[in-house]
Amino acid sequence: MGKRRIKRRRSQADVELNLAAMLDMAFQLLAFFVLVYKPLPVEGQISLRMPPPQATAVVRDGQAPGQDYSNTNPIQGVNTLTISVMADPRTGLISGLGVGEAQVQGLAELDGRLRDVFSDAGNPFDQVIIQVSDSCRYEELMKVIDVCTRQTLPDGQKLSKLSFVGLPDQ
Amino acid sequence: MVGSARPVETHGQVDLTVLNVNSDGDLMVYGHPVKNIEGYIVRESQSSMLANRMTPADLDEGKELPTTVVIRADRSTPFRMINRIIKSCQDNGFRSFALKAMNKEQ
Repeated sequence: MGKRRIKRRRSQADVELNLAAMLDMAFQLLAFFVLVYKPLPVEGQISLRMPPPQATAVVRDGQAPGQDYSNTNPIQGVNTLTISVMADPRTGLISGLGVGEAQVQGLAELDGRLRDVFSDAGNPFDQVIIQVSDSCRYEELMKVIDVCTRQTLPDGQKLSKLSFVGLPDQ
Repeated sequence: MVGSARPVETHGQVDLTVLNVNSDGDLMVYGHPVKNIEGYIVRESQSSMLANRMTPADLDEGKELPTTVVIRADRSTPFRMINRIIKSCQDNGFRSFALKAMNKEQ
């Protein structure tokens, strides 16, 4: 008799899941993750073709300077556009920019100057070398590269062929 | 990729060599700096040659490795450190690069 009574009590006390509380907790967790979610910024990527830098002027073996009388064009042989990036050795921030021999003030002017150079279909440049101070921060260099890769060549392609040369800090 | 918390956005490219560089210019692999950077890049070059069935003679003839080197460096890394890695890659036949800048916490 005693055993039968115990069985009856167990069957009467069924376990019930309180779904309301669980749903409440689930929504609270969902709300928490939605509110604290902070997506990482998209990584900027600059794709480049970087051959090793070559000589900045075409010079034939065994030829003395000024002895090529067939060359009547003073810029013939100059095939490299040099962009200089000077940086403050203490901070690594850009302190000066130059295109060839000329100085430019800031990235906007660099952009304009390069646009002028590359919009000319007769421009003689077939390689771009960026001379960079050794202490220049990578972030600063990326700004200059970004300006360069925005340029469009006369054949319609984007400028992507660059080489780097390090400049010792002064 | 190698030793980085954040996966690389590959932009559809498959053949990649990812180099993570910290602010001191150290090449980081699985959270540890690589002491012999040039040696590491030589090994990457050799594995790329094997994967693409190329030989060192092909590089001497002017052929290029099809692998893209992704350089993920800290924003504050000095250029001389990056240039050292780029030069080493160029010396070992890599020509295609993708430059990325990242913050320390990434």
